[in-house]
Amino acid sequence: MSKAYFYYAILIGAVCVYFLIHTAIFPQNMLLRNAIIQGALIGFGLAFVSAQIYARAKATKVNGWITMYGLGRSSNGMFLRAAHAQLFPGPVNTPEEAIYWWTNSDSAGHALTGAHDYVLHFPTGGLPPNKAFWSITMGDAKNRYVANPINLYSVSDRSGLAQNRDGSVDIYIQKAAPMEKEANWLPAPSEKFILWLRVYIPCEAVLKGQYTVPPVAKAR
Amino acid sequence: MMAMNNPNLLIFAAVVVVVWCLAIYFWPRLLLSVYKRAILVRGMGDGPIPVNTLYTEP
Repeated sequence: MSKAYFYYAILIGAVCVYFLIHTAIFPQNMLLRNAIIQGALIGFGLAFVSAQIYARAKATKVNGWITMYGLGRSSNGMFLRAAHAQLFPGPVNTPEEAIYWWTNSDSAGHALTGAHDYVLHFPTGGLPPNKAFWSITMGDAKNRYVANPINLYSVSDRSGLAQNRDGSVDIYIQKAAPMEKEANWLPAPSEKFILWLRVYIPCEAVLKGQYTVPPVAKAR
Repeated sequence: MMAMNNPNLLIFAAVVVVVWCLAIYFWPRLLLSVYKRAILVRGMGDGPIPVNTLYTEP
């Protein structure tokens, strides 16, 4: 999960707590105008912090991949929707339409960066089970597409990925093209980056949380 | 007791609760409208992107 947002939430939470304690100790100092302005700021700050805390409590992180089950359901309460929006801010489909994961860390918990080469190894029969398609998309630290010489921004089940002899699939995530393995190359930027995995019309194993996305392992 | 000392504290607490509820309620809608404007209206490079394509389908 984004450390920047984590530290931002801690900072805002600390400021809110400070003002609440200050108000409790010196209640006589509060003017009407200050009550409204400070109340609005603290209310907004607490909303952000509480939504962040709830999002992290509801998120599922396995092998560095983060997902939240139940995204996009109309039956979700407003607090849960706000929590979902913290980690998945864009438009999302319902789980029956698509399940999303993202990661910004490798199997050791270190940030993904173009300074290293990575391999995402799907064991035999371990590709995301679905009835439509899946894709892995590359984004830079600000979640923007990464310009690269082959104009490739994602790999998917329709990318013609080469299988290993045992049927497993390796996806090479690195800045330079891997020798003789270009078919399975997802170009990375020089800096930190984020990976998104989307599985459309997922099978039951995905919906029930039984499917585990393999870790992004550092190769070099 | 504190509220009796300064009635503005009640206003302060009420504003905190109301703004918290409003922020929680409108946060996803706010983000969604920003994304819609950025992706579906302005687009990236070649202009607006139709709903449900978003470059995810191969």
